[in-house]
Amino acid sequence: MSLVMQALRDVFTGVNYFIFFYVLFVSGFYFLLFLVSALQLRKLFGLEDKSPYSELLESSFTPPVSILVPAYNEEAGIVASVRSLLATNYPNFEIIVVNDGSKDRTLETMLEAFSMKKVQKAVRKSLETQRVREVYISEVYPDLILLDKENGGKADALNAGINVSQYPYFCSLDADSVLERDAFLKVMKPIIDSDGDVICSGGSVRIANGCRIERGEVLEINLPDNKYAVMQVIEYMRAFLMGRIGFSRHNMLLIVSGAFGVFNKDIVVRAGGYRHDTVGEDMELIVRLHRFTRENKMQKRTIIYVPDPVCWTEAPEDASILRKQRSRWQRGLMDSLRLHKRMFFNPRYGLVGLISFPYFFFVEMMGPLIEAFGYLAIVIGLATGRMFLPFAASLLLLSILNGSLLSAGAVLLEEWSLRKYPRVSDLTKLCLYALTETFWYRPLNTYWRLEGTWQFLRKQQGWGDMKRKGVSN
Amino acid sequence: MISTGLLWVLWANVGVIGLLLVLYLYLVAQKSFDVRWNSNLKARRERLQLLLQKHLVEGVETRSLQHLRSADVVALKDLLLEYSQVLSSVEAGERLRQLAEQVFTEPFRKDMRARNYAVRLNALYAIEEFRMESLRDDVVARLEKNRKLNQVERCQLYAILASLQDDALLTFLTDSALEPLPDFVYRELLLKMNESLFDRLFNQLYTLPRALRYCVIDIIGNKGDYRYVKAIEELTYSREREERIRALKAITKFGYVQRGSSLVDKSEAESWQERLMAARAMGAVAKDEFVDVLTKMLRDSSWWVRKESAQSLLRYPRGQEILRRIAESDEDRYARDMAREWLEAKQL
Repeated sequence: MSLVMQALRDVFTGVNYFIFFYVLFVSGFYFLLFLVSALQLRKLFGLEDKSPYSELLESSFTPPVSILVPAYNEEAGIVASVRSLLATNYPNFEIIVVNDGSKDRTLETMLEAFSMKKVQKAVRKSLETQRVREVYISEVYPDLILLDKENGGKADALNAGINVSQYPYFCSLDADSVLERDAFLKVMKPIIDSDGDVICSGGSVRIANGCRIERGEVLEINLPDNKYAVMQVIEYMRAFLMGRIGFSRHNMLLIVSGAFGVFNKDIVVRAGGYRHDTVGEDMELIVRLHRFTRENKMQKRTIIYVPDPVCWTEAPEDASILRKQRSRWQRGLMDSLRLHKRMFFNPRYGLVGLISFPYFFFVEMMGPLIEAFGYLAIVIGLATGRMFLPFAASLLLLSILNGSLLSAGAVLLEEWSLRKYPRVSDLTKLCLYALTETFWYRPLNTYWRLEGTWQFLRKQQGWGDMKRKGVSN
Repeated sequence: MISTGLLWVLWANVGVIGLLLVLYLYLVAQKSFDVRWNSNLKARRERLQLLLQKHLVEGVETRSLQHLRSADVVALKDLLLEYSQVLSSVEAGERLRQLAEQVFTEPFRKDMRARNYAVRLNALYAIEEFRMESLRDDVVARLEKNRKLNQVERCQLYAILASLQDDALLTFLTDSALEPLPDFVYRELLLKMNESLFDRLFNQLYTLPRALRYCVIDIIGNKGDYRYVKAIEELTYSREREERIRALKAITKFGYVQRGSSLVDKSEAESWQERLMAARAMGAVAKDEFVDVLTKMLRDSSWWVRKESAQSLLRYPRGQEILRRIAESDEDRYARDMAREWLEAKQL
């Protein structure tokens, strides 16, 4: 009996040590990223906003962009979104709304609002998609195109948009996000400056909740009142300011926000466009682009991230929606990693293979699992008393360091470098919320993402079956 | 062992909390300072605005524009940057330039060498905007002495020389062959040049880096500078394919050629890109002698060339009629399809 107890105790001690060093390592890694980003951001602090872009706007050489807006049951917001896009500050662009077989009146609303006329258009099918029923062009705005196609999901809608688009760069945009007017100038600048070596440029996304937005313009930046929304503001700051700037500097970016990114169309088409059999089509595409450029000896082609916030998106204020979103993210992440597992620790793929991939695997994907064990260990440790109390205490402290304190750090970093929220009280509120993170928001997230992991693993089984069938045929 | 671990983590937490607290207090202090400084700037700005308007527009000299405090200098810079965008009269512009030189020469000279990147660049943008000749030598010296300047800064220094129409720029551009600049930068520099500086650059076209040469051709087309029509036509026979394509593009922009044969010759070029540009140019120039060539090009093996030819034909008075005939009876199926599609597009 006591032998069993002893064994259990040893195992538990081992688990505790493992979690302890894991979290310690992750904290160290974050801290490093934090420093890189802080220095980079501070360098640009105070740079005047307008001057670097005025020339882009006046030049007739600024490359034109096709804006793709996939819409599935968006009758409520689509017209306003398109109107705000029409006011974009950019010399030459077209807007392609793709009605992905909506069941509501998305199509009719668009046809009426912009008096759209049916046209015969020979579409070059560079990517396979569901059947496109009709193509419409607005009689009022000749650069506004509407595709009506059979339902095939977001990836399929984007691919159809790519087929119809006529310009060398395209941008995918969610129908519910608001772009700043100068967004394209800002994200296109690195592409133009690099003579096209930058093949994808993602903009930073911010939470719109609480802000006053009229006709596609953010008039007043405010913090939301809803606690989930505030936490997401902090979360976005943390992800964008810390993680992505550090990764972007060395072309190791694996995520460009799904809400806003500009891509080189030619390369995306050659790499095969968006995949429709995954929930994380945006991340998957980025990973594939890395893979494609490496495998085709295009090392100079890079993927970058612009820290200036250019896109505002409505964050879910409701736990149940947030829960679905997080679980979907986790599934998307796992799927992208699964599809490209050969890049894992593969020196052929450079830093992406050696650092980003393992990072996403061990920290982003495995993180929730290990954190869950950590929380469990804390509870058990506190319950069993003396023997494991030091473990429990140190794990708790580490998770405070890794969660609350690092988030508070991100809030302060944003204040130090970008200074977007106007009032002293905003800063205080954000800091205080950030400090509570370890105690409710992070455990919740861990739980939601574990659910995602579980769903993914169960579904994986199903796909495995389908694949076997494919092989035997 | 774990107890020492615990101790370490505890200290790390305490340390980080302390650090964050200090940072927080510092940022709060700075933020409130910022708020006050901004309202001070706003007040200064309102005071200066009237004086400045009188001075720039009516030429009234005022002494209050000579003794300025540090907040005044910042406010004045912002105001002048705004005015320089809207002032249209030559005298007002010249007064603005003089005032800028008088007030900002020393501060900007210092800013140009500041350690902070953003401060340096902001100064350089303003120097260009105000066309401050007083800092010309500093600009050249900085370019000559600092080989390792970051590209953005280097380009901005070039931009200043371009807006001053300074010959020193031509040497720097010729030397840039070793490390060519992005096309976009070249074009912006070319657009800032006046005719005489641009002519001097064109005279040494073949000493320039290749990328810049292409941009020169593009710019000529874009500006529609007819003085170069002949030179461009000659370039369509260049030995470099890219140069020929750019020249055709320029002709498209002109919408004019002296000798049509230079386009007709290209309809049988080896690369489809060249044929496409030739088709486009023939649409823009719209001389009757091209109709038969374009009709033939509707049966080209490349989709892009066919598309371009159809589009070009539509720009001719008889274009629709020709396309209709092809759509109905041409033996080439691809030509028929293309003609039909463009006829429909035209009807919309």
